[in-house]
Amino acid sequence: MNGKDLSKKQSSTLSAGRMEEERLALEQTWADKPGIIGWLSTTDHKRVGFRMIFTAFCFFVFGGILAALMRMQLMFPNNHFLGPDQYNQIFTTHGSTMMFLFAVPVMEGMGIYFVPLMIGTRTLAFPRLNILGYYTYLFGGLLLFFGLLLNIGPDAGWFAYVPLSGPEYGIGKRVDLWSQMVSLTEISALIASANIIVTVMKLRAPGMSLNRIPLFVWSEVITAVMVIFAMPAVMIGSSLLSMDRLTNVSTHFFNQAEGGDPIMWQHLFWFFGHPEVYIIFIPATGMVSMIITAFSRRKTFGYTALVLTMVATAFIGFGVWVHHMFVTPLPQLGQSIFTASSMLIVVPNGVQIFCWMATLWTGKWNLKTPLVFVLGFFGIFVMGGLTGVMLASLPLDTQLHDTYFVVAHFHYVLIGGAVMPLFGAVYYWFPKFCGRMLNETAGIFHAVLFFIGFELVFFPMHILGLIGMPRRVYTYLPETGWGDLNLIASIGASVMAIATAVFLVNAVYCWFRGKVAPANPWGADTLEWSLPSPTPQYGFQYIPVVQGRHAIWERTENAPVVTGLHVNNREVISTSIHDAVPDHRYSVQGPSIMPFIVSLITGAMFIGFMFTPWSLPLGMIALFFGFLGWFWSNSVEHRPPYAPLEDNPIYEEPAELKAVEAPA
Amino acid sequence: MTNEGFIGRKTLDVSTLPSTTFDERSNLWWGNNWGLAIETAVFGILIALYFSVRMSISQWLPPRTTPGLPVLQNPLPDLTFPTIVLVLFLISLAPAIYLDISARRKDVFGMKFGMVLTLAVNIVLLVCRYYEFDALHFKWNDNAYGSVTWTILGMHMIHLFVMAAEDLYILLWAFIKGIDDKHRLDITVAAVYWYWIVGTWIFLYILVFWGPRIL
Repeated sequence: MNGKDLSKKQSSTLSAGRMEEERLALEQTWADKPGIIGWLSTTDHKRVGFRMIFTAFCFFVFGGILAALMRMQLMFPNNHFLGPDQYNQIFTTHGSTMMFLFAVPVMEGMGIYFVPLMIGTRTLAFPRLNILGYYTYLFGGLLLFFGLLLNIGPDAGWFAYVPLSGPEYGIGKRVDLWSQMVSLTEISALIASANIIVTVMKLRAPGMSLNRIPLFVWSEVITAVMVIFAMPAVMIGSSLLSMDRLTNVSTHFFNQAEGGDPIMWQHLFWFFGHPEVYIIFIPATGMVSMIITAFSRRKTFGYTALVLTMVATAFIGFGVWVHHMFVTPLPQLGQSIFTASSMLIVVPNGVQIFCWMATLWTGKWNLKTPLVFVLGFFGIFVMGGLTGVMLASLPLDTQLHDTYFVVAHFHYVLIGGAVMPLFGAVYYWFPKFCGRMLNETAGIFHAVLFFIGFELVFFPMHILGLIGMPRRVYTYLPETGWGDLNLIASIGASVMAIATAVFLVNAVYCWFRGKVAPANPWGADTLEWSLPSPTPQYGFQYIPVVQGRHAIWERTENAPVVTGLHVNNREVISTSIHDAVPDHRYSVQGPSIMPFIVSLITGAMFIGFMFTPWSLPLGMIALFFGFLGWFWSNSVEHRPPYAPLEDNPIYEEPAELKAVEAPA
Repeated sequence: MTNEGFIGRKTLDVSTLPSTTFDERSNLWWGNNWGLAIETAVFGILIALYFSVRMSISQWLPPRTTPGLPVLQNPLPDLTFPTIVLVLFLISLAPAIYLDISARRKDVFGMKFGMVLTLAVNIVLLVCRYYEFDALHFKWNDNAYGSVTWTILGMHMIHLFVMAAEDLYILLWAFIKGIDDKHRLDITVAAVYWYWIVGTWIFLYILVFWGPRIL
């Protein structure tokens, strides 16, 4: 049974009176509680998703300011704008912020916001867990900046290699701040991932079979599966590191003298760290696919190929981590295998690029800001990919390891591959956030300026790396001849800063004063554009029945909608995994303050663990009561009236349709 | 879309569909399984860590001395007691399966009795875990071997605690509020969690207590 068969069985229509009645009931049912408690306890995926995106962009700006400080320091040789210790703290915090607090959370935030809208449902499968994830992420981020502002920020790099970060050399609580931040943000990522996967598996609108899922949703699911198998490595790693460092525990995981292995830290970190790159990049490819389809005004070329290349990238992404460790004494044969697998990843990425090119080539362009950003993405990302192939080669990497060539490479891949599509996506989806459009002229200006600034900063770094400038040095001598290129890079940084400022002003101004947006300003194809801008809290008044891969473009005149869901409790339709045949009615819990309290306890437990192991048992006892409150409130307020199972026949065929008279 | 957009649209009425389902049809079951996938990844990494420690320790096992005395003792972990505990773990599957079946049969007594039984076994196993730590003969801060074995046992112990808490929540609910369809699903999902705890322990037992003998 697939979506087509479902739509054939329709026989009734909707009346105006009933619709208005149901809409008002939905508005009430899905509303947040009032006041500050209500604000803290919301379970609306759109609000949580937006908070995540907003917070991540705040961290992006903070991380950008740190980058600007580094560029100011490196502008001239022998500069003393920053001291060596300050510089160490700043580059560590910059890297950690951009990876843990910006790139991953912003992609999750986009998923939390748009996945339910794109698959035609009203909520994530576990809405309370969702808000818990946001708070743990927020506390982790605040912890990191708390350290930096008190001049006790972590200073061992975003990868915190032992023994530099171990108990012997990592003085004070600096690295502990880093490791607890990592644990908290990874809890958040894991929660969001499990939630997104189950949502996409079980809550898709009827008719949205696997081969009709929008590509952005596919990208979020594939990313979520990667998170589930990659993030535990760094969580375990950072926990072991903090146990090694904690005086009364003093384990010996990374202590060579007692049988530990410092190299094992690198394995743990990069087994997470390399998939992390794809965890950031794959959602961005989803965004690129959505934007290219909407702005080429044609169906996506190679849908199946695009899905499979994302899956392939995810698989291969787990088999390349050792290329970060080519200068460690690992067996040569093993290193060669990792060279091969690192080069292999070019294949799926190449296929992706060609599918997008084919779509663009045969489409009718609507050249607006989102598409301009995607074109910029091609320019930067392809070049980053090419230097990636170079660095995959063991002998070349041995030469270039820890030089600015690597810095150039990963900024090309991460800014080109993730930030450019992300900016495009923000311009694309901004109307859904607030009901207004971003300014086009400012948008094009932002895109072009950002591109030029980016090339000015990072292109010279290739050359700097080739002529031998190492990473993570706070200054250099005039005789090295690195001064001119560094000056160009620093000038470029100011151009990037101006471009970002243009974006921020545009966003703030247009939030209040922008052009009012219709439901589907771009004429795009996915379900979120069938909703008003901004989207009401209940999302879909009637969950649609999906008739094709491009849900809006392939919709028939009288496309059927789902009725018969309770409007007085938070109910959605749960469908089968493959063909999205209606299976059962699923009601989710409403807002609760307990997730906030549980996240406070979790935060306190992890912060306490920097000082005493007793925070673990104490925290677990507190969590026991926290979760007791959570589960108890789960079942008291928002349960549908109990109906014995006999009254609910097990579903086999689509339910009988009732005729409702249409108004004259 | 305003109301007008829906006028005349056909409808797919789902009001007769059930509101509770079991196993792969239910969302909670999948949520639980993906959660367990995360935890399985955690144990996978800990197992890899154990082998890494094995590779970096040249004298396997590391020597064990009595504090203050230069007397060498057998460094191998005890086998008898942990094996008895393993058998206990396997036996504990019986009440969990009974619980699972009772939930599907809507057997209220079976569910309540099954919950009490699983909780009792769970607590017994938690007490046993204390002596299993003892059976290792190394402290967590003696060397990397001690660190990794304590961490493996400790991680697994956290799951025993979480399971006990979950049992307690559902039991409280069952005795105070009674059991409804939603909690019958919770019970089957809790049973799945218990199967997973027992299943992982089989591998971890072999690694921790046989590893020193055969690696």
